[in-house]
Amino acid sequence: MIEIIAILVCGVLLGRLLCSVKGVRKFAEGMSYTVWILIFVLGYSVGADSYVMNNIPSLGVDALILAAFSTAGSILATILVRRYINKEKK
Amino acid sequence: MKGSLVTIFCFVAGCLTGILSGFDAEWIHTASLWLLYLLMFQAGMGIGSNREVPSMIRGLSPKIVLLPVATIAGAVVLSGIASLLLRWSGSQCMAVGGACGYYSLSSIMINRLMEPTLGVTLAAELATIALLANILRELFALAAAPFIVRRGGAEAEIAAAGVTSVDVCFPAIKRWCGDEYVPAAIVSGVIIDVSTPFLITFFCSL
Repeated sequence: MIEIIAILVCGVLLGRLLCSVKGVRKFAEGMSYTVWILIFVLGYSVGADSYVMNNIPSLGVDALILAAFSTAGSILATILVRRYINKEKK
Repeated sequence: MKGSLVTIFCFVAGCLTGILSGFDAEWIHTASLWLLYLLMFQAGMGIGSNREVPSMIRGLSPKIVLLPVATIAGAVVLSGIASLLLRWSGSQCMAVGGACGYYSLSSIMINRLMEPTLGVTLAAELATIALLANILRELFALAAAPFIVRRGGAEAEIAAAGVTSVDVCFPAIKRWCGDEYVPAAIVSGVIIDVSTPFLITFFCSL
C-alpha cells in the first residue's frame, strides 16, 4: 500500500506542476482503459488457476452469497449512517 | 452502461484466455502490479491537475471516517448472517466478507491462518471463496457503479467498492460520484486497506 500511495502522491505533484500542459488531462482520463486491462489480467489469473476453475461449481455459490451479503451490508450501513447524519443536521 | 459491459467482457475474456492458455505465468503478477502503478499515477495526475481539489480537501469533515467504519461494520454483520445459509461458521464468513474487496490479501491470509484449524483442503476452499467473493464484489462495484449511485447515492458506491475505492474502482467513483467524492473514496479505501489484516486475523482466531 505504501508504494501505491507514494505513486499516487508523485502523480498529484506532477499533475500540479504540469496542470497547464494539454496532454495531462487526456493521460489521466485514460484510467478507464488501464482498469479494463487490469480486469482482463485479473480474469486471466482466475481462468489459469485450475484449482479455482475446477471448484467453481461448489465454491462459486458460497462466494456469490458472501459477495452479495457483504456488499449489501456495506451499502445499507452507509445509507443508514447518511440518514442519521441528515437527521442530526435538522 | 457501455463501461459496465466492457468491464464484464474484459473479465470474461481474460478468464477464457486463462483457461485456454492453461498456465499461471509469473508475468501475469508482474503485469498486474505495473498496471496498478500506472493506474495510481494516472489517478494522481488527474487529482493534481484538478484546480478544485484543494478547496474540496479543505471542506472535509472528520465525519469522513464514518464511511469506512460503516462499510466494514455492515459487511461484517451481514456476512455473519450469511453463515446461516452456508456450511461455514459465522466468524469464517465474517473473515471473508470483512475483507471488503481485498481479494489478494484475504485469500492468502485465510489460507495460512485457517490451515491449523480446518486442515489444508478446507482452508484452501475458504481461501478460494474469499478470492472469488471479493473479486465479485469489486466487479459489481465497478460494473454497477451508475446504478448504485442512482439508487443508493455516491457514498453507497464508495462503500460497495470497499478497499478498491482507492484503486480499481477509483475511476468509476470519480466518474459517477463526482470529483467532490475523490477525497472520501481515498480515505475510505486506505482505512479499509489498513484494517483488513487485523480484521481477518481476529475473525480467523475465533
